Amino acid sequence: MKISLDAFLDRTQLKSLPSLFVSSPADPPHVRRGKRIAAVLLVIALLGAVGAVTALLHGHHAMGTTSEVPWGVLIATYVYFVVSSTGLCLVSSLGHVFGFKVFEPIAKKAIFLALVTLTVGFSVIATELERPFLLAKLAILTPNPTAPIWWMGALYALYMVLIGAELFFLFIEDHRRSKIVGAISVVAALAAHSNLGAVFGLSHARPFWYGPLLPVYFIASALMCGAALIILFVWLGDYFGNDRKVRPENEPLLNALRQLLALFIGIVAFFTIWKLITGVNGGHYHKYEVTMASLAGPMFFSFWVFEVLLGVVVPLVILFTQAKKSFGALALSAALPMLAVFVMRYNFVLGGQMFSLKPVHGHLGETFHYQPPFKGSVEGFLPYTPSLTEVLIVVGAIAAATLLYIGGAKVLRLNPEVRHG
Amino acid sequence: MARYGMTCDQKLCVTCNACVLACKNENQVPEGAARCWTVQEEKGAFPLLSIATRSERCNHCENAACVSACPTGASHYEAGGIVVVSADKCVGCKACILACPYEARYVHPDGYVDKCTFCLHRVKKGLDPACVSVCPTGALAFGDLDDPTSTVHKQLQARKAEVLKPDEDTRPKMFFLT
Repeated sequence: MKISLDAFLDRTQLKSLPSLFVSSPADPPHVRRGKRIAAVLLVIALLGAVGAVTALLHGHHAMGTTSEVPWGVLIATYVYFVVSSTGLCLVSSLGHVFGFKVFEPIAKKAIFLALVTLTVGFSVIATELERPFLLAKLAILTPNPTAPIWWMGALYALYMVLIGAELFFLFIEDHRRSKIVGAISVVAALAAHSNLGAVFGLSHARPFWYGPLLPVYFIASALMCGAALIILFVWLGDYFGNDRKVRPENEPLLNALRQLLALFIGIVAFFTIWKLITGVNGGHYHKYEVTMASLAGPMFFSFWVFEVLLGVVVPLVILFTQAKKSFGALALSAALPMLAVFVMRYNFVLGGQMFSLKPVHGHLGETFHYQPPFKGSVEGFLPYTPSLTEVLIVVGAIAAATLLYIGGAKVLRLNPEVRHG
Repeated sequence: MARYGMTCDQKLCVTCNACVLACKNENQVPEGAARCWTVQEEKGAFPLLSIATRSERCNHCENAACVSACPTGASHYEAGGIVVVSADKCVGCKACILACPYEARYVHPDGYVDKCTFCLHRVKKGLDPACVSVCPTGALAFGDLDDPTSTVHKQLQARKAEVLKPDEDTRPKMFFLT
């Protein structure tokens, strides 16, 4: 079987790539607005590249992290991206692996976006590491199989190869092989992502993270992100590509995703509720303190407003009311959880580090006075503020992932109706 | 094979911080970081109030969470059970910092994670770690826990001792005599 490049790429579109950013007088107003946003995203992505180079050159000196709070916003961002990738793989597999016809049209786009988010996520964690290339080398030469981080690298690398192969078979329309590889990808995605939960869940020293809940919770939140992202790219594609109207063939898909998204948000809310109850009950040091910091402490605003209100309550209300009538409302109810999940990741990663593990005043009636240099950890919260470099990398990564997807959707043959040859 | 450990006599330690300074000097520990530190722990309430004073550092656990968490094997057990980070193998993922229940580690400005080595370079020459050698009250002792003639062995036979966070199942080799 001869495979032509035309199976993957629409060469005629390559030359018109700049038109993604430059509007012409013929464009309707909403398209012009979209192109302006794309141009801004391009600038943000370039700023992100500056941040990434700064981080690679200066390491932790360019970060807001400290020895006491060693994992910052970049870890949260990395988790955010790979959660999205896993979710896209899992939700889209309903169609081309498990045979639910309504999901079949989005297979290529979803797997392509899964590859994009995974690549961007890996790039973000590479900027976070002090020596990313050494890790790639030593993970092979001197692996430590007891380390969850080693498994994270191994499983996500495997997952990347698998979804790459899956996308390849989808492009050449070898549906038998794409289904087999897709099924293996689903297993790899579940393994890789639940193991990412275990990176935190195996931290016995940090009770806020420790426990068997996290691997399962990570999968649930991945499903939520997957459904939300598919709704978003289908709706945005039709908004800009079909004069603001959802194509009739996408309507059953979006209706099915509306119900799935509501289910997944419900599952995540269920986990959150039990996490809070087990966090408060028993007053286990560290777990209790961090939970209370969410409920009534420094994370009050980001928890109640972002995680609860914008992440759960508002989307669910919209999903059960307006979203049944308007696809625009559905897109909003998908965008809000994606925003909330970012805040959720941030609270989750930083929450596990916000208290020193050395017991502080009030715990068990004992008072510890740590002498310098541990000034920051005597009482209260350990400080962390993202540095400019970190902020640039975060916004740059989100912009870059969006642009890579838009560019890919333009030049690659991601639409199911396009036949090659 | 030796099994190195350390004791700190909480009745003798006065938290003078000589150990902290000797360590910083011996190991060129950068500003703002420490491999060794002192603690004053108040227990109870007036009139049944007491204070425990001690010098803390890496516990060189026999079941070290940091060694399990290190993806590249940079954190490892040296001869004698001393837990050491190989700077040239550390990629700076910082998983060990988060795994350590004692917060004994810090990020070195040169981009690797660093911590107490029980002054391995001195131990190899038959010397005590710097903190032990400068302790003015003799609160600190170092040696082979399995050697019946060593000070640490005799102390642990004769005295009651505690370790930090025994419920973490890390089996520390830094003992605090009570």
